[in-house]
Amino acid sequence: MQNPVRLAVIGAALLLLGGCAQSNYTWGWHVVSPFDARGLTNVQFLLNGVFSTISVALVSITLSVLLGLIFALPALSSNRYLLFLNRAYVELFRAVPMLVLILWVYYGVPVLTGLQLSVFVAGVIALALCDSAFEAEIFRAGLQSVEEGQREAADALGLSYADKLRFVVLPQAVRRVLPPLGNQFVYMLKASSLLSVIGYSELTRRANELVVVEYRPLEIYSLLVLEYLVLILLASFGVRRLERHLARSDRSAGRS
Amino acid sequence: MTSDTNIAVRLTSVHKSYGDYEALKDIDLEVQSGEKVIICGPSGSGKSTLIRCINRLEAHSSGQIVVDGIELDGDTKHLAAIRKDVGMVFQQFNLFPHMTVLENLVLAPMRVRGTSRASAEAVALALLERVRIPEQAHKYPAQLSGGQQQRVAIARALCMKPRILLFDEPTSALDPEMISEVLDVMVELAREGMTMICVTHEMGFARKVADTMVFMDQGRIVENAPALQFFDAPENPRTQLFLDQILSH
Repeated sequence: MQNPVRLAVIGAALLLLGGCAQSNYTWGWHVVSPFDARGLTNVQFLLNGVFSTISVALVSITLSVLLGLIFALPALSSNRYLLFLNRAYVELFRAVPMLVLILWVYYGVPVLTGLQLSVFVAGVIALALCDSAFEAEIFRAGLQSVEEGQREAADALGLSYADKLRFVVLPQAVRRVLPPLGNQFVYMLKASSLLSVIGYSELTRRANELVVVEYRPLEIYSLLVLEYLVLILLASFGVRRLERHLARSDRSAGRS
Repeated sequence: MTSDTNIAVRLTSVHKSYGDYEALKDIDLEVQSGEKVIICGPSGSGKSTLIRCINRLEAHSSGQIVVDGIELDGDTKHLAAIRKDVGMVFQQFNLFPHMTVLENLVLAPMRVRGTSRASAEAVALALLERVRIPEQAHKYPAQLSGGQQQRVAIARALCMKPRILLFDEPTSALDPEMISEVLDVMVELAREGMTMICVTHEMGFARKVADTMVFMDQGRIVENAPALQFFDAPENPRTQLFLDQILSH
């Protein structure tokens, strides 16, 4: 079973290399070169999208985490209506593709309500709703992983439901789900590129626009790949630092 | 009604079932204020369920439970009032692992009783002194031994200035050499007049502090007698059998 697969991969790689060698492609890096006057303008135009990408991702992930948490809480109840609320929310928004929801919110909601949404607002709503279904599952796992004894101790001390959650259960749950939460943040940075289809002027949209002018898709999209790579490596670094910071102030058994 | 003022806890025909399984059957129990009641019995006899019903970690299915003159019904105000006055110590300690010992102790006084941080910490440090681990205040629970953790748990319960303390097998999860340091603290508490209801198999401790012994089997109270009579001349043959087994070595 493995040999044919390997052969196919090697064959595909050879074809690709051969294709590259045969196409006498002349690279045109000058369109995105900071040492070229026009290239510099182009690069600046492309890079300016980074603020839009970051801001829409940050607002969306914040909203999404809040929604996720709110809709994860009913999953801990034993009330079947609350349980149903959690399941219905998760199943609904997990099932809708992000791109579809983006189009539906941006083009559909104005028809429904007569309210014209800006691309930013429509984008945030769609990204946050889709992502919150995954956040809700992450929080459910985290909250359920906190031992029953912790809740019982909080109850026995007379803490209110809100205090039990805020001081006892959530701090422990959040520490445990930080890696998947970080994942979702990275995913959100990438998913924001889908907003290019409704004309939100972030990194991908700007690259598309430049390609139409310069006819240099390979160079421009290569730079786009690089932009996301740098952005996401920085985000990962930040998430890891936060994880380490929280781990330090935690149950460190080996330290004394 | 005057006689009621001395009654800390009263259970009247309490039943508790999980589906078809009856964990508690027709339980009647009265605990006077200041009384030390020790509950023993084989595993699965319902003793843990019984004390967990007293602060409603388990809701009883029928019957009446009155704690400090307040009935434990569905009313959340009643429940909050009772939990303020009833402390509990668990088999697995259940300290909050992400908080230091001191933070574990001041959380409930500050959030439930509205005590200021300064006075909550003063009380907490005094209590740590009393359970003989004042130097551990700023450590995390995982850095302490089991015996120390359980003493912190007792201090945490005491921080709320409870009128009644419930102990659910407080030494069962401890290594043998740590049991006595926890029991010593409990004996001291008993001498100071705390109302205590304690599930334990430590019969030496029971002989020392118990006013009343309760023996449970299969969800029922089989014997409920003054401690002296219980140990010297138990009425029920099942109690005798249990004591023989537990004291045989």
